[in-house]
Amino acid sequence: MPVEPNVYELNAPDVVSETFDGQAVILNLATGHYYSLGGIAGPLWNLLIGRHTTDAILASVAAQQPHLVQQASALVAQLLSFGLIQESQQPSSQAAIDVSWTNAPPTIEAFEDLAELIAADPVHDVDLEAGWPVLRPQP
Amino acid sequence: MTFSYSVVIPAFNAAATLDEAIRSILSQTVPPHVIIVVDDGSTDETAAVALAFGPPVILVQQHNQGPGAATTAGFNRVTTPYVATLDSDDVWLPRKIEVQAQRFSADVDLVGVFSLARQFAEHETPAPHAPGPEYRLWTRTTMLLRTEAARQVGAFRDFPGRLGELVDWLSRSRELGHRHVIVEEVLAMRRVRAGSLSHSIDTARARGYLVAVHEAIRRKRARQACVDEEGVRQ
Repeated sequence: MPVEPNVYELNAPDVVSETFDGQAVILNLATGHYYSLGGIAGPLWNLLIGRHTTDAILASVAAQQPHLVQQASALVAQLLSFGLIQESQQPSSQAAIDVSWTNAPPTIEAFEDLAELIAADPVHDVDLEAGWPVLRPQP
Repeated sequence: MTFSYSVVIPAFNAAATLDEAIRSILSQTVPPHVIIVVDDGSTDETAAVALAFGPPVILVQQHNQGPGAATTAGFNRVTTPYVATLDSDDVWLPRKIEVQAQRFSADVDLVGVFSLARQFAEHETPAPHAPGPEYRLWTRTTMLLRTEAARQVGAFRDFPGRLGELVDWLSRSRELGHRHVIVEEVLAMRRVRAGSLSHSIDTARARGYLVAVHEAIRRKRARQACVDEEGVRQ
């Protein structure tokens, strides 16, 4: 089955995410990098990992906040380049997009300050053959 | 060498491995003042294993609360200038504290010293010189702290899945300006359980880390807001 274009999903199992009181937080367990989403990036993220097509999401943004479409599109590219989402093999969501888009531009802030601590912690306790993720050498 | 330290071992159903962990502390070239085993409501023979040693091993018992609360309970009993921790299924190599203590004496502003580690399989004898990767182990097993500075950070808080409490604590310590370093020498061995989370990450348990990093983001925002307010006043 061909992969449906513009449908993404969470890059599991390395990437985990949760929205706390409207604040979407993403963590890449493989790198220990974590991300905070601001403005319309939070609802956009949740639609993306809910496998809504980017076309549908951007059309919804365009209908309410046309001036934010370009930034919304750039955010998707950024999420892909950070390895937080991947192309999905699953069909896209057909659910209607019912989001009230604010006029706050999407932002993503990346943090690396805890990377080595997170990468060393016991969640990475895998078997001996696989080893833990071998930690990257110090810069 | 005079270096006075205590060791805190939070232990939950650790009867199978605790003996080996404690022996690795008793084999140190620089001996501990006390080894505080905090039995976090175990249902196995953990308490009996600890009690069988006698001094310098002491036992603290509490109902099951989590590794963070157990570590905090142990820290509350510490009276020495330095405190180390050890996970109940890992072991130290004999010169662990000696090497880390030298690091402290060379750098009086340090708050925490960690080390490299190798891993060993569940039912194997640790073989520190066996070939295999070395890991930068920023965890409880290698941690040695100045007690006074550690107290400024406050309690070790538990998170969902009982993971992330050390990431949270060290993050809060760094925010106080504390410096932690890693000694580039293998000073501990970490036990790896066959079949545990094999080849994958347990995403349900990883929620603890998400909560911990969310709190780190909130603290950053709060500090930023403080700085902004200062700026407005000036």
